[in-house]
This record gives sequence, structure tokens and C-alpha cells, in this order.
Amino acid sequence: MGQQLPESIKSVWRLQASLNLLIEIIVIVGMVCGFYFLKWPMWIIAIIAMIGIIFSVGEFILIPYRYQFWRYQISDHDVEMTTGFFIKKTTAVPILRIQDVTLSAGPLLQFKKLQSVKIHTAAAVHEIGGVDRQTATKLKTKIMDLAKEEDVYES
Amino acid sequence: MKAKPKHLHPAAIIVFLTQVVKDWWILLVLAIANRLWWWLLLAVCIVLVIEILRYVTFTYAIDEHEIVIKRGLINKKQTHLTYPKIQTFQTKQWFFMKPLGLVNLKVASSAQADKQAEVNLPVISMREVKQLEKLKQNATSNENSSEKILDIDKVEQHEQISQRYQIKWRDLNLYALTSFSIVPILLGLGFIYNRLDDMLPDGVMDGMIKNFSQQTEQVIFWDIIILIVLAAFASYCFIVQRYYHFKTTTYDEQLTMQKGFFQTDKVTVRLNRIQSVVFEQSWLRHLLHLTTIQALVAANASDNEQSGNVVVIPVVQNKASHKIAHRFVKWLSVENVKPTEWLQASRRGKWAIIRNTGLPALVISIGICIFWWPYGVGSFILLPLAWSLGSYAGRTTGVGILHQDMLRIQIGHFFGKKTYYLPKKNIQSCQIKQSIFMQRTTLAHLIISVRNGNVETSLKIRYLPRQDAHKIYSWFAE
Repeated sequence: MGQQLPESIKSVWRLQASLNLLIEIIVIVGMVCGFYFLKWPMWIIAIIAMIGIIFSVGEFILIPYRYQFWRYQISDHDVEMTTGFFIKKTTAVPILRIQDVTLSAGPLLQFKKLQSVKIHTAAAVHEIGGVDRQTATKLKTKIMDLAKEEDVYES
Repeated sequence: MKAKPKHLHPAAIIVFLTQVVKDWWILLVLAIANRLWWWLLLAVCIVLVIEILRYVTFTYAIDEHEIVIKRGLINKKQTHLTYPKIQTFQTKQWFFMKPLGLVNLKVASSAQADKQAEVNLPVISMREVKQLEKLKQNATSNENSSEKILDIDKVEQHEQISQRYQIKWRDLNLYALTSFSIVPILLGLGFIYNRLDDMLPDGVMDGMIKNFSQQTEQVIFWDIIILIVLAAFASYCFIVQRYYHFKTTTYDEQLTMQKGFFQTDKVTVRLNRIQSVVFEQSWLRHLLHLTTIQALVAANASDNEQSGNVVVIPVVQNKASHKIAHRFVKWLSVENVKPTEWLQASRRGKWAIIRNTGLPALVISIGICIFWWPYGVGSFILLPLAWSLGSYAGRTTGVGILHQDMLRIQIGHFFGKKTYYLPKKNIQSCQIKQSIFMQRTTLAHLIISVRNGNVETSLKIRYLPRQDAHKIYSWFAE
């Protein structure tokens, strides 16, 4: 069901995960320095390093999974999103409830010419992780057009 | 018409100053205790200058179409709020402000930008509030139908109070007695104790504790009992004064709730802006067959900072609750009708809920047993409690479609329950959540999200059969 995110989002996520790993390595190196110069206990460093490595490995492993099960679909009156397989979430947001749409892109997404789409309702924010720029703009205009057609949201 | 920007009433400076004292009272007490007079003088001067600057730079203008507020000296800020966007309109008046005809006014829209209300005028005159109300009324009636261009006098006539409810002394007592807010008060006492421990010079607190620990056990026991009774009594008095003369009225599509002894608190909200109506029963009120009726609004108007629950009827007999709610909110039905299809957790799902409450209880009990043998065995009393909690939640939680555009959701929690009546247009999103284990058992959680105050409230109906969850989902998405 629905549309998949572009293939290139995977490399963005991989880059993101590598950056996180890099930060962890820097922290661990710093702590090892702490061990040498300030006599910090070694076991704390070991535990933190273990946790960091487990998280990083998990992040890398989960990328294909995340990609595979993240779908979105825009029909004339609602936006539907499905994420996850182990915990599968299907969300419907009627277009009439949408207050605004935010397109944003950090450096990583920009590098791959992608944009994330955030859909705000009066209550919460729903995110479509990353789509290419054309799709993002098309999406935005579509949602805003559909929202415009009907009377303004009355809450 | 452009209104001239005005300053607040000069009494606002006093309000600002009391706020400062409220925020920094501990430092103030410390400074006095340690006789730091010069520092104190310096601080007072700085605060005075800041607050006077705040007063001078704060202006407001009540225009034909909007309220404009300007404030700030270095970082200037301007807020515009047009009348049709107003969600709630709240005035608060301390008893000593009454003879002066002054009130505190808060007007909020549904924007989520700020934690506080968009328009907060600490002290303005009653006359201006009246004027603002008229302008607001005009704006909305113009918006609703263009032919209905009424002049202000006509609107006034229109404003006949059509329904009213006034709390009786007996009900007020019942409400206060069943509020059971002794727990927060005890927590508060604990918090103050911690604060004092940090703040006071070392010797004082230790001395007190030493004094205390020299008493016999019996005396300590009685001290604790007295403390609890005092806390309960304080909580009772607090609630009685807060809900004193509670009054709900409707006129011209507006719902107004008024309450308070020392401080009169009045909230007005348009009926079509109410997101949902909630019938709430805590375990104690459930036992006594009493219900509290609340309205969820899309702006910050309650006593609680975050949520938008506004009490409409503090306490009413279960049987009469729907009738009385219907008087004020017309789209509710007169009777407590059950939906034709009341969807609940299946037998398998109910078991899952019991398991989810039972397992943590089991772990805790075993832990206590190990650490505190043999008395810890007593903690196994948690297990039947957890079991009955889970089975109660499973039995009471459910969801059903009332008619084409209304959902009835009931959520059981801790032997109490909340029943939401939710028009379809106010449901912000609908989610089905299913973990991989639930795929095997074809169960799913249904999560309905509603706007409440400045935040989101998610109503979770757990462990529904999947096709039932999909029924609601497709009803919503169609």
C-alpha cells in the first residue's frame, strides 16, 4: 500500500548513523583520556562504549527495515502513513484537519536533494521522513489546495 | 477605526511585583535571615526598575477587529489577535479588585506558539472587558451570517441567559470531599521540606529532626496522623473556596463558567469551539455514583497549566448527568445511549491487559520478598489488586460510533472512568498500532488524538480485535 520514500533516503540515514558513531567515538576517546589523566574508573568507560556500539549497530541494521516499512499515501481527503513492522502504526490525518505543512531539510537531506515534510494538525505533528524536492512541493501544494477548498477549520 | 494604544492600570505594577516576590521568596527570606541589607536594597532597586520598564513598555489597543499588544524594550514584541479566532475568554478577579472595578483578562486562540495565553492583561478595568466582549460578539455574529448586522444594543437583548446551573452547598461539599487531593498536598509538603532543608542553615533542620526523633513512637504516629488530617482539611477548604458559588450559564451560543470565593474566575467559550465533552468519575466518585462533567477546549483556560479541561458541572448524580449536560451542550444526547455497536477488547485482549498490569506487580512483589524476607510476602496482596485493576480496565474501556458524526469513547483507569463524546470534526488523527505479537492474535490498539488545551491528548483503546479497530478507522477516514 502507498508510496515508498525515495531510495536515497537510505544513504541519508546511513550518513546520519555514521555521524552519530563518530560523535560516540569522540566521546569515548575523551573518556579514555579521562582514564589516563584523571584516573576515572575503567568499567564506566567500558559500559558507555558498549551501549554506544550497540546503539550504533542497531541503527545501521534497522535502516533497511525502516525504509522497507515506511509508506505514505495522499488521497483527496486524507493523508495516510504506515511505519514499522515490529510495531506497525497506521495513521490517518484528514486534510481538513491540517493546519500547516512544513518542508525542511538539514545539511544531510540537502546533500541528497531531499526534504522532510511535517504535517501539523491542531494536536500533533506527523512526519514523512524525506521525499525529493519536487514531490515535497507537489505534496505541499496538493495538501494546501485541498485544505483551501473547504471552509476554514473551525475548532 | 484605530484605537489608541493604552497602558495598563497602574495597579499592574503591584501585580508584577507580587509575581517577582512569588518567584523569588526563598532568596528574599534567606537575605533577610542573613541580614544582607545592602544586597537586598540593590536587588529591590533593580527589580523596581525592571518592572516599571515593563509597565511603561506594555501597551494594548482594543480595535474594532483585533486586540494589539506591544511589549518589550530591547526585544520588541507585537501580538495581534482577531476576534473570530478567540477560543477562550477568561477573567480573574481578586476580592480586593472588585471595589476598584479591575480584573485580570486572558484571551487565548488555538495557536500553539506560546505556553501562555496570547493576550494576558494583568489589570484592566471591567468597562473595557465589557467593551471587548461586545466587539467580540459583533465579530462572530457578523461572521456567521452577513445579513445579521446587529448593532450593539440588539445583541445585548439577544443575550438572554437560556440555561443556568448554580452549585448547591451540599454538592460543593460532596465535590470537595470526593476530590481526594490529599496526595498532592503530601507531595507538596515533602517538596517544601526538601527545599527548606537545602535553604535553611544546617543546624536548624537537624535540630528539629533530633527533637522529633527523641519522641516515642506513639507520639510520632499521632503527629503523622494529625499532619494527614490537617492536609486533608486544608485541601477541603482550598477546593471549597475555589469552587464557591460555582455557576454555569449559556447564552447566545456561549458557555460561561464562574467560580471562586477569594478570586472570581470566569471562563467563556463558544459552544462550537468545545472539542469534546467528558464525563469523569474517579474511583471514589464512581463508588458514590457521582460524575464530573468537563469540556475540552483548544486553549489554555483551566487551573492546570497544560490541559484544557474546563469543569462544567462539578458533581452530579450519574443518572442525571446526561440530562444536565444536554441542557448546556445541545449536541449531546439527553440519555446515556449506548452505541449500537460497542467495541471492546476481545477475551484475548482483556487477558493481555490483565497480564500487562499483573506482570510488573509480580516483579515488584518478588523484589520486595527478596529484600525484606519474610514480611515482604505481604506484598503479594498487590497481585489480586493488579488483576482486578486490569480486568476493570478491560471491562470498562470501549469505543463506539454514536451516529454519523460522533464517537463515544470510554476509558477505564484505576477503578474510575472517563467517557468522551467526540464529534468527528474534532478528531485530529486516528492511528492503528499493532506490534508483531499482536498480528498473530489479530489485536490492535486504536489511538484517537484530540486537541486539549495547548497539547495533544491521545485516547488509547487497547487490544481491540483488528477488524473492530479498522471499523472506526475507516469510519474516520471516509
